[in-house]
Amino acid sequence: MIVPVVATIALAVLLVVLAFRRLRTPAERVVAVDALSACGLAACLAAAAHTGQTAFLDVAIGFALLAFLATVGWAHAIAGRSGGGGQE
Amino acid sequence: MSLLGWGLMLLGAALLAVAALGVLRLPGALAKQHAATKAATLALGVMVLGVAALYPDAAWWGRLALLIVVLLATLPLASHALARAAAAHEDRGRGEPD
Repeated sequence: MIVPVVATIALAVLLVVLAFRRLRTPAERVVAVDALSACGLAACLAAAAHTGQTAFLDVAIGFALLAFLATVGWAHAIAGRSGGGGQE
Repeated sequence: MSLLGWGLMLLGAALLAVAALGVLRLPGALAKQHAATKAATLALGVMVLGVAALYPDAAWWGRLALLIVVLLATLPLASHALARAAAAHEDRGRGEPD
């Protein structure tokens, strides 16, 4: 039962990696990285469901927090580079 | 229960693939972000529901509830920060009033 789930997640990763070829602005690239981190979270959930170990859920929670911090950090970097438009 | 759980997992993975297709096809940073954030949030929520259906146990459900709370709290915030940055970047690149 795990094979179609992992295959679909792999398809999503492949689509995002293909999208990287067309992305021009830094904001679009960070969006793609965000989508990749969502794929990583989905892979964590699939691993937890397949192995039956709750440790993968702890990994998923930590990974979600890490992805959030990374995205906010990149957003601030982009806003700062374009002249401070995104600063409060 | 097992069939329901794996069905939800597969549905969530398919929604994630749709989100990735949106990142590939939609034009502009804001439209790409609209696809990636909303569809990915729904996809991960459905996958969490699938895992919860597979393992009806307190240790699993507590962690899954925490994961849902973390996702629902952080994904919109990250999306908002990124959208503001993208809008500021586009304005700066297009306008240059001074």
